[in-house]
Amino acid sequence: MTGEYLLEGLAVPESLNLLHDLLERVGSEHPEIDSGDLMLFETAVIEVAGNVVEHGRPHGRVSWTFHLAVLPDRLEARLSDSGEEYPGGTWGTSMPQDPMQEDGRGLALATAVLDALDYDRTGEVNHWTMLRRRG
Amino acid sequence: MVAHDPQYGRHRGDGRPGLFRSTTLEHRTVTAYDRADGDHRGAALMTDTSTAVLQPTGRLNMVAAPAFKNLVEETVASGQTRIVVDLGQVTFIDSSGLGALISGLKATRQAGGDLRIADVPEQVMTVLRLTNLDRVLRAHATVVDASHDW
Repeated sequence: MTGEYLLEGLAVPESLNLLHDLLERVGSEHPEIDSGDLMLFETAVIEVAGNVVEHGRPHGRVSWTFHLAVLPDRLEARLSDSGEEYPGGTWGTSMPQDPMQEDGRGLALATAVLDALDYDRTGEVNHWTMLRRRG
Repeated sequence: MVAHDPQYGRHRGDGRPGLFRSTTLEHRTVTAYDRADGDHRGAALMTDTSTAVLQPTGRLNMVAAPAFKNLVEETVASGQTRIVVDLGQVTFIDSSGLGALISGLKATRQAGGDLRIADVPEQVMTVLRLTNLDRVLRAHATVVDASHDW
């Protein structure tokens, strides 16, 4: 069974809970999805979205559109945001060496649980594409 | 009607994150005067006032993490430097929640105490392993297990 989901809103912390709710809905409407796959996909989605909330500029005024597709072989999501272009420095895909460091794990964690995480910018829009193959 | 601090309420019942704080840890110990008939009503209740159990609930994410971090700091400032975080009611953690746990670990250790985690759900355990933080935040099966031998 396949399905598509869409969520639009502002990239603010409270919107993260709407994404969680959407992922829960995906799980209830697609019980055939392995719960481990969905759990890890949700982890990645929240980290990528959290990165936009934290680093998107102008802060608090970035809007986003989240599109998720349940496909026979994979879960695929695309988060498009209206923020400024992300400098390369925010693209932190390796874990901090110091375990006592409090931040800097978000995109590294997303990378670890996804089969592909891509960022590109088209015109004035940033696109984050997340893919996890279903087990 | 009593006004509740929304950050520290018990389960709100609406799925939103909340924090429950228990200020002391109680160890139930059986005393030497146990009766031969097995009646343990005389068991003493020993209270360890330097240990706090904190029980975050729901999603420990970017929304809830700042309040949790503040709660740990307040707890340490009040003199309770040994903290057990009961994660049994946490449904999801993200890197912000992990950061709050690390912040708490540093705050307790700087004050001569420690922070331990107990009853860790699957998603939290997976995230701890993937970030290698299971090496610094060792999971204990229960709050009682976590509260011995500091």
